[in-house]
Amino acid sequence: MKKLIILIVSVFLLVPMTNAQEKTAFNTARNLKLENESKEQQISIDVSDEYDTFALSIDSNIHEGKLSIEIFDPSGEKQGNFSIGCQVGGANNPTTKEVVQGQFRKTFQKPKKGKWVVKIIPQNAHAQINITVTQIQN
Amino acid sequence: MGFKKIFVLLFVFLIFQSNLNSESGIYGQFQLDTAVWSPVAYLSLIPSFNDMYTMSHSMIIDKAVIDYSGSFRFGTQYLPDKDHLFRIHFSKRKDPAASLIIGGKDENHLFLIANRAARVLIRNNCDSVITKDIQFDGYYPNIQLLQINQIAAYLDSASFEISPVKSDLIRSGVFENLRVFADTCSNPIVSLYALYKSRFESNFPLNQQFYKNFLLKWKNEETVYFEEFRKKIPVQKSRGLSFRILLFGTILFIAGFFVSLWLHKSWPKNQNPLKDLTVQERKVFSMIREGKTNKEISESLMVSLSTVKSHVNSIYSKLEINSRKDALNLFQQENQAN
Repeated sequence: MKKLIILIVSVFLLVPMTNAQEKTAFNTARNLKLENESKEQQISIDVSDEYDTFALSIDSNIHEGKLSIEIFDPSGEKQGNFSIGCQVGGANNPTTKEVVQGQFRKTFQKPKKGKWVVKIIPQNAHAQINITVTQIQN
Repeated sequence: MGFKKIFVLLFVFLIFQSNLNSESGIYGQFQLDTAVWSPVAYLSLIPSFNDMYTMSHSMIIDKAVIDYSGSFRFGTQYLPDKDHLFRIHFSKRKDPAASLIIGGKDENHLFLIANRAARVLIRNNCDSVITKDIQFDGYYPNIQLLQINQIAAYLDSASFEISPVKSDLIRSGVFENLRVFADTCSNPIVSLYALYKSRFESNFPLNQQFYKNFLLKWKNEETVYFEEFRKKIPVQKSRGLSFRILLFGTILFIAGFFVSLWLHKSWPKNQNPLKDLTVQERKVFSMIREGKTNKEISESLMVSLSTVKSHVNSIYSKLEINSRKDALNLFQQENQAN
């Protein structure tokens, strides 16, 4: 009986440990601040064989200019895009300062392996961009 | 008499009721967690399919307060007569009015088609994800729009736990379904919406005839949406028959010119240049050979001096000589050759 109890307790203790080992998440975050920026930038994200899930989260807000963000998979196919822009506001018209916000959330199961690219195309942009990448290994 | 009055009243009531029911507008009935979301709906005009995911304050054309029951209404009396693409979005309380959330459980927008006379009814059936389980009623193109979204959404839902090969096959199948939808749809904007969802850019090089036929079908559509699409599809316009005949004639003419030039250069020159001269010119030439002057020739042939000069010039030109001396030399060369 005692052995049986020890066995059951051991099983209960081991099961959560094995479950915890099943999934491994790898997070990276990058923040960008643009001040009257018009130069295009690219951020590459390596997606390797060991990860089964790739989640991309982009948060951006702008208070002057225009900002476009495009997401490409390793084959060059566009997987998403959005643009945000402000026509008024900024230093010239501070009383009517406006903010425009854009967010992108997408989870790719069994993503294409290789270099994913986030292309940032600003036009006289005063903006902030946060890019968070989560890769999960099952 | 009393019966007649009741009949008139009933008739007026029915007309009034039917007008009330068919009043144009965009009517919404949304379940929203007002602790998270502002009770305001925003309507934006989408000027082109490239701008579906563009957000700015200038795109917002109207806003409507959502009442305690979740209802709101946009008037359509100021909208264009023809169909256009619109977007309704909601903003979180902490976010600016112009905020766009793409994907995830907080996706905050939906697209619809409307015009001045359209009556559109929209309802959501899920308050945790506000743009999930959307139901359209009224203006029919929106129901088709929803069907397209459902076909396209299969791409995301089908990507779990399957091999890359199977995933590619599913993608191809979904895009093919969307193209079939676009091909058979009677509304031009819905049709174009289906093509944009099918990621036509990558399919175009493989399936050019389909896009050529599609543009032919909608050749009279002059909306911005189609103008933009035509720019993206580099299908050559078919030329008329007259253009082809003109082109063929020009090619033949140019070819003929070069062939004759080649023949002229490659063929041996006429061995007896005197054969090119007329009877009268030969007579004049023989008198030149004898050393006669123009005046003597004119008297001998009984023609005017100007006629003789004309013959002499013609002889010089045909024999490619410049003087009487050249004529005599030519004669001597011919004799030596013979």
